[in-house]
Amino acid sequence: MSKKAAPLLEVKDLSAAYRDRGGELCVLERISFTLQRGQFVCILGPSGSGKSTLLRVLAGLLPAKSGFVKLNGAPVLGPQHGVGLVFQDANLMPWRTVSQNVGLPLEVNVSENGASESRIKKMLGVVGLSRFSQSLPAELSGGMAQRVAIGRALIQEPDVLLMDEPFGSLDAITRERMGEELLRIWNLEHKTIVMVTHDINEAVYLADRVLVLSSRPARIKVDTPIGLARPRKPTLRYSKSFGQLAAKLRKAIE
Amino acid sequence: MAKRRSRFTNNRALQSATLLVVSLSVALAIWLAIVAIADLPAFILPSPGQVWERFLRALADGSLARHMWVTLQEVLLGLLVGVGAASLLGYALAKSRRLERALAPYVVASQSIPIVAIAPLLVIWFGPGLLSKVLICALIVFFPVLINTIVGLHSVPQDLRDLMRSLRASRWQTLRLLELPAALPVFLAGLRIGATLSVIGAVVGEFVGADRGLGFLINVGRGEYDTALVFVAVFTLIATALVLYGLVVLLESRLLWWQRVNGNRT
Ligand SMILES: Nc1ncnc2c1ncn2[C@@H]1O[C@H](COP(=O)(O)OP(=O)(O)O)[C@@H](O)[C@H]1O
Ligand SMILES: [Mg+2]
Repeated sequence: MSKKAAPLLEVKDLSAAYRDRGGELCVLERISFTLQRGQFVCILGPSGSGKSTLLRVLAGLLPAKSGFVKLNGAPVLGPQHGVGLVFQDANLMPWRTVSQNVGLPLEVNVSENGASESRIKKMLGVVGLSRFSQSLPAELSGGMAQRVAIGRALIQEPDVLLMDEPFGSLDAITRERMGEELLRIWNLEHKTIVMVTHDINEAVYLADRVLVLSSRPARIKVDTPIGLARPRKPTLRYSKSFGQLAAKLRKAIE
Repeated sequence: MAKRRSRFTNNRALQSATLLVVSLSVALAIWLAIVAIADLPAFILPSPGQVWERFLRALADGSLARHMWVTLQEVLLGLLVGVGAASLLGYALAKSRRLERALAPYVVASQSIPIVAIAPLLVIWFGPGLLSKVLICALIVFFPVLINTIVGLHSVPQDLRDLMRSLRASRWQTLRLLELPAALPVFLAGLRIGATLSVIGAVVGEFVGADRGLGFLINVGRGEYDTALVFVAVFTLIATALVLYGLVVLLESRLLWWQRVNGNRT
């Protein structure tokens, strides 16, 4: 991929606000960044700063007050094909089996390329849940449920995967394991990922680049590349360069 | 897993069946005792035997079935109309805050009018036939179903709504794939209440003005000091209400099977 390729995602002078009793609650203020295809970006910021709001605008779920978001050069004015969403809670439909949950997008947008059956099967393989295709969400652990959510987001082969604290409600060990899992899937599918997290170590371990938002109204406070070589091994977390990057980000947030 | 579940439900079914038999026997024993001790005339309190005899007679001459069929028609049609109207209006109100704000006062106010008070009006306007009873049943069923439809639709998680929006689902797809199944548990709870209320509505309507139906039969029994017949009609009404209730419970367990699956969520 050449350096001159048009950015996959372009965010320019983006502001967003919620209508609040009478007034307006300004949440995002002149956010600008561009994202190349295949990048893994993590967004850090204090809670309540507007990280989820930013993702909602990127996903076309919330209109921008000013500025714009462009996906593949086209302005995002509403929900787009080519955007996959993963929420903090797996957000599955409890009355649908694992494979029905993963296949939901294909049911909504009846697929042109290939039978849903085989695509669901393949996706279950990708997220490692082939054995649980007929289970109900209530029978899954938190990590498994989140893998279903990732499968559901990936099945339409989106250009960009937007994840809002996807592992936030998991315990520390499961969270690390899911991080590994996500990197494996990322390698497999070559997606562009924008992931909100409140875990600095997670951000450093996973991302090519980390954006740090200020407290509300959010601006981009720091935009730093993470130059750690890939593939990354769990032991990387104890290296000196990792610690320095994490310390730098921690300071930026405070 | 499946085996464990079925044994569990069998156990519970057995338990509640035993409980039912025991409580019925106790009630029957008390009834027998009162009749024996107080030595009341049959037109005040008939004995179980007399009621049973009267039941067989009403069954044999076909009158019981005829009146019951009339009431059942009123109940079912009223339920259909009431549930249909309430779920449609409920959907509209749940979708539009403005509509909800505009109509909520009327909906609530309509509830403070006792159905017994407007039943005579409905009979005057729509005649003593089927129509007035169906409307009374529909009215009495309307409110709980309306409220539960609205509450059910409001209970759909915002994140799932966002998911459907991000998939660019149409209004109809959102209804079919998300809102209907998500609202169903609360909606069916409303239907369960509505089913029994509908029986009450039919009887109220028949009391006010009718020449057939179980409510009418109660009036006839009272007028003729045939108290055993009153008992027969009342028991038939109770049985009808119980069967309807049971059918909704059955429907719930069919449609909401996924709620019974409990896992080891961590
Ligand atoms: N639907 C909404 N209406 C009004 N205010 C909201 C809404 N959603 C979020 N907010 C407010 O916007 C701010 C940013 O929220 P959010 O983007 O969820 O923050 P974060 O994800 O960084 O914790 C918060 O102060 C929150 O209270
Ligand atoms: Mg958030």
